[in-house]
Amino acid sequence: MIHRIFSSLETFKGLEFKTGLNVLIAQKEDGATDKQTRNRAGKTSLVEIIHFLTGADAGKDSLCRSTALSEQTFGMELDVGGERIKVSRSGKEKSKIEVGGGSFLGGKTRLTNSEWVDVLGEKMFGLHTIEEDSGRAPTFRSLFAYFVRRQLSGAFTTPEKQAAMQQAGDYQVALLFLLGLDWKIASDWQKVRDREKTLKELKTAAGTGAFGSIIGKASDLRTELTVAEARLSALKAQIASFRILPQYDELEAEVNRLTRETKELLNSNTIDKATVGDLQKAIQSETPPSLTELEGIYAEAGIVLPGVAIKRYEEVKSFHESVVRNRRDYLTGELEAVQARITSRERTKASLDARRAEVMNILQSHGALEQFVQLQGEAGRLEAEVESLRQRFESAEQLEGSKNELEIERNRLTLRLRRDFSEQKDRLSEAILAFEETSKGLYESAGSMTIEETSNGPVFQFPMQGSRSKGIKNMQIFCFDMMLMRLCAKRGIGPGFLVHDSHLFDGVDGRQVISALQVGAKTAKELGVQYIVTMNEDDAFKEKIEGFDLKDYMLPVVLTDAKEDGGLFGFRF
Amino acid sequence: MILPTKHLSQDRAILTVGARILQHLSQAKTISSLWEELPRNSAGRSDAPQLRYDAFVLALDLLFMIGAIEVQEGLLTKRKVPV
Repeated sequence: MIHRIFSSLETFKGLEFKTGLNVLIAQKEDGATDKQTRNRAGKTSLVEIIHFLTGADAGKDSLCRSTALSEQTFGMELDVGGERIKVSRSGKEKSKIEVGGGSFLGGKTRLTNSEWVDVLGEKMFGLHTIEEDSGRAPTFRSLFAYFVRRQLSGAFTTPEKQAAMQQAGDYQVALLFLLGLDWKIASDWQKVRDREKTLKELKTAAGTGAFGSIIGKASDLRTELTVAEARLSALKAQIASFRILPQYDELEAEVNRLTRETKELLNSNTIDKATVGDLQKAIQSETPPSLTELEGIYAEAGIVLPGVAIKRYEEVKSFHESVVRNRRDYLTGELEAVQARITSRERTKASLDARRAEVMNILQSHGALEQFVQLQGEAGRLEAEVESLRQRFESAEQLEGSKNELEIERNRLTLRLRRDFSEQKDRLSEAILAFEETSKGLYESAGSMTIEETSNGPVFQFPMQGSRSKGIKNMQIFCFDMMLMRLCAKRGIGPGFLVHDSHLFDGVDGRQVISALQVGAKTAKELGVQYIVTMNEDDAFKEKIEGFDLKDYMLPVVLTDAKEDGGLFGFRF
Repeated sequence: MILPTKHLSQDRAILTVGARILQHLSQAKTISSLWEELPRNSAGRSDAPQLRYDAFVLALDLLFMIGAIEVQEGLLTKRKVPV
């Protein structure tokens, strides 16, 4: 429970609390005109100060860091872990918490804000027993905010949320923890939601082209992969049947040589064929070469070989005639010789051709070592490409398949939740009954709470007649908080107090307001906890109930906005 | 024709051919055997034109003319050089 709230600010109206119901009233002074208002009297500021002193983040806009208050220190005395602790913090040094008392602090007087939150989490909710988990785990701040709802965070919209912006995963974890159910299911649910979100973003990215070129569509990749694999296997087959010829270069040189020789033979044959033609012509002409040539030589010999005794022409002529007598035979012989040469060349050429064809055949069916190495390199490159494609295909397929997987995971979690609910049936019905009991104290037709296992985790619903009205909604929140209070008190966890801001009673029928306060007082007394309420005077005393006097629970300090110094801080800012 | 000229290579000049014939005439031979024995292409060069029979006859004529050879009973012989 909270014993005392104080400040270094001299004008601050220090507050002292007792067990059970404590009501802080904001009064309408007789002297106040209609234009004056009880707003800004400091009711909501009280809630802010309590949060400030229990480790809330103090942002730039927070009350205790405003220029008027940042120099001041605020403090509170409260029971933590059964011991009375004094805690104070100032807006100026928001991360330094001064503490006093409490044997578990080990004599420490200064803590950082996060250390303080850890201490509170351990002592109030036993959070230190929660093992390290990769998912969401209940935190002190998310649990504590249910007991001191903040209007500034939009805590008075629905019972299950302590802030309007609170995510499903966060309140599911927190509430399952507070109800004593398996909050890990809700944590796993949040993991699925996170993955779904990432997946959706990734898909959008892949679709719009940011990652499109990296991953691509599974169907496209499947085609590409198939084509590349076929190419690779063809290349591999080629390599497997490749026959290396070590003397490839020599054989290539031989082919060149053979070609050159064949060409030479052909040239020689052309010349000889011309000779054959000449000889055949000479043979056909029956007359031997005329004597004119002889005469020419005879004449020339006299000129070019002077001093040589030359025989008489008649002698030479008769010699010549005796020689040419067999001319035809000789010519025929010569012709045959030429033809024999041609035939022999043809034979040589044929054998050269045969050899050349043979070598060419070998060169075509075999390959040089360099060629083989080149093929292997190509195969290696292609193999790497196939591997990269396969990986991309797999990730694309996974990306497209994850959705189904997550759906399955959701169904699995729904089943797990259902199983947990049926196993923890007693706890669940305890909560439902607690809610209903409180509700019964307020309305004739009691409202109820249902917790449904849906594919999106546990969903809290509060079917109640006229539940669209703001007042009835607020009373649902009241019932819900009472229920939490009751369950936590029974299990020995929780802060030991519940604070309700006057906003909770906005728009609530006067009869329900007083009934709620009566139920609150009764419950607090029964559980031995503290119930702190801030109220406007006219709301509080609209109606009366037999046997319940609100004045018994009023704090001695009464706030008013009629005067400059009537508010909680004693001055306006 | 006898001597090499601008249009007649040394190989084909009749005097050169005659000299080659003389080299092969160390003993008496018939005309036909001399023709058979005489290498057809000069200096072993395969691309040089072959010695034609008609040119062979003219070379013999010249050798006879200058008295380098003579015919005795169908055999050609080199004439002994008078000392």
